[in-house]
Amino acid sequence: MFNVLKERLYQRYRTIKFPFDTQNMPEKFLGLPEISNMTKNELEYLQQLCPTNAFICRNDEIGIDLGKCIFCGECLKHTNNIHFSKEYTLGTTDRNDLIITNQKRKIDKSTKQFLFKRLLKKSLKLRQVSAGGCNACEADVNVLGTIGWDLGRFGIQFVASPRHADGILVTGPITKNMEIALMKTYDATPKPKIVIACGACAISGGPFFNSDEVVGGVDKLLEVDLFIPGCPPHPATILISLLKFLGKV
Amino acid sequence: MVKIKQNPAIINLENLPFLASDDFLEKIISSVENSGRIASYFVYKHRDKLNAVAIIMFDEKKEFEVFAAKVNKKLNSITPKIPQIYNFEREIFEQYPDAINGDKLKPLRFHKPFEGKRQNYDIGDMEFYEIDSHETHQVGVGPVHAGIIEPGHFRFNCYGEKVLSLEISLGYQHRGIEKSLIGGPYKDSFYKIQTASGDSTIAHTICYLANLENLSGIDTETDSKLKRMAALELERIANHVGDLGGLATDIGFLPTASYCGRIRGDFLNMTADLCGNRFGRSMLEFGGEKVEKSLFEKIIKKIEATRPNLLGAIEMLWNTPSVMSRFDNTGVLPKKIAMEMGIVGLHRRASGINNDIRKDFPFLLYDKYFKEIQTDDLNGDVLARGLVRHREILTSLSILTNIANNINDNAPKPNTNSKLYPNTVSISFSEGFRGEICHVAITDEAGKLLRYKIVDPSFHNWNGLAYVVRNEGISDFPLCNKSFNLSYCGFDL
Repeated sequence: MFNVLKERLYQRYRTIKFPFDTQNMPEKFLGLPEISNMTKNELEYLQQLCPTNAFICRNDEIGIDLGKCIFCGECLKHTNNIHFSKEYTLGTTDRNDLIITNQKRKIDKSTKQFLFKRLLKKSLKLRQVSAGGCNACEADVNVLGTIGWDLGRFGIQFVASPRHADGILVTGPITKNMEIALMKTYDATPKPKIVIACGACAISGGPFFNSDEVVGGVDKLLEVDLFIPGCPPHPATILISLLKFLGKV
Repeated sequence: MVKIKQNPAIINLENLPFLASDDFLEKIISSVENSGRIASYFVYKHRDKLNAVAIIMFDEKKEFEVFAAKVNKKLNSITPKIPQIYNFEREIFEQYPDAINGDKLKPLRFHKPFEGKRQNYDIGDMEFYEIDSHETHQVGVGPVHAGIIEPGHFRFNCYGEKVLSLEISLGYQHRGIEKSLIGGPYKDSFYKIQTASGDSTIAHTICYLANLENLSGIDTETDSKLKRMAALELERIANHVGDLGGLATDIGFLPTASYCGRIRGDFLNMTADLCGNRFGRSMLEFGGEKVEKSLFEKIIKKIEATRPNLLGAIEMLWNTPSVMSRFDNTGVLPKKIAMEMGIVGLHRRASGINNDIRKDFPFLLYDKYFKEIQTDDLNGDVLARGLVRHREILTSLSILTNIANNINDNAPKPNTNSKLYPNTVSISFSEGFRGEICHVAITDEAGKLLRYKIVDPSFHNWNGLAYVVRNEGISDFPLCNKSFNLSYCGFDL
């Protein structure tokens, strides 16, 4: 008992202040990208290179789809016209906002007036469903529960039963084998309920977008209320996205 | 026979000994009976013909054997003679049903076969072991578990609270990685391998790059080898710390649980300092990586600052009698059974068998930096698996400190040669934090991959978990499960 108390004094209080400055992110962290004058030729080259086909061209605007991007940095080795900042706020409620073009450089940070926002103002209980995830997304969602991040202080909690939850947070590209289990979990969640897609896999299939064994993206099955890009998303990205979604930040 | 000592190894397909089907199976049986262990056993298709390949490890002799067979008639199931081949046979029947007499084998991942036809199964649709009795009952858990973990289904047969048997049905995470690599390597292959098992990203990537570099005739520089080792040891420490925290959580010992959870994050953040990603995604590169020396120096300083916190948090476990009484003699995997089931990695070491790829088949520069982990006093219970993790953390910390001083800023030459040797087999092993990872690449005439076979340590070890919960209270299952901490996605691929 004495040893436990001694250790407790030694380990001190370690919960981090959140949200924090982008300077606290790792030096090499790849966050919100910016695209400057990119030519069509360069785009075509990068399209061939990008493992998840994240580069797109729409209405003559060259863009990078953060829903597909796995932040591998492969494009950075071949062009100087893309720059990844350390901005970790990447979550959005609208799938189209994830497409970053040279015209519109910022992700729309304003939260969609969420129907149940007032209902959820004080607390949010989520059931996590891993649907083919490689367990990196799961690990980084899990880490929010540790004393460092202390998710509980924001009124957010991951619960064991979907029947206790306000919604589900899905990770993984949804393998064909998990489709039924995911839908059953969703059905077991009482209305009104929200769906959160966490990680490139859950948004678009990630590296598995072209595999026959996966559905590829939660939005193919359910209407998604919040998209959190990354492979896996940094815990800070997940947490700030949830907080913005709840209108707490 | 081809006997190989080096890792990674390369063999010309012509030099691979091909046996007749029956001799092939006889050879597997006799090898396993003579203290061999199956590292990999799979089927591939070449010019419309099916071929089977077996890789047998002889840990004591520090060598492994590779041999193959043309599958002219269906192979027989030899599980009754050597239990450790069970999962491999189920997998072969699932991928190539024409290669094996497997009508009695249960499905493993429930997917459509790569070739040929087989009865269609729905996920989870199999005949579980049942006991015809009014006094026993079944408990089914999953696929969606109560925590934030991956999906899998567990079926217990219980007598009161005592577990008589546990059967595990996985496959929910099956993403078709192996199948998608055939005909490659493609531009996304590397990224699929990295997500084979998210927490072992570095260990799997090391194996994959070793095979590809081997097949391209590229020799990585010492500097890259050191960097890869540093990344792997960081990954190992982070995961082991997390697991020890998890063990403490499952018995409700909160001090260690909360400190270890946080300290695990510290180590993940160190990996992020190196490459920007907490799991080391895209850190390793074909031909060698460019990570600055200064970053490693920074990390060593951070490690020194974290070390007292880390060791304090872990040692508290062994100094608390109530913790020890829960760990001691719970979920015992005896040495003999571990051998018979072909258990690998830290779970094998916890049963008192001192096998480690870093020692037996050193890859990178482990022959120079790795000193073996003491296992004589371990008897295969939860406590033993905890202690092995503690000892490995200490070893990894000292390896990291030793390596960091020797890393230089040698920038590797850019390699554009991505053409692989034709008709060649490359085999590479690495020791992930769970244990032995085995990757085999076989190329065709054009240098494209005919087959890429991945064996994650979880593939060998899930049956070990099913074994240790027998005759335990069902309430001890979470603790046993956490002490194994196996990968669902690494198994499902």
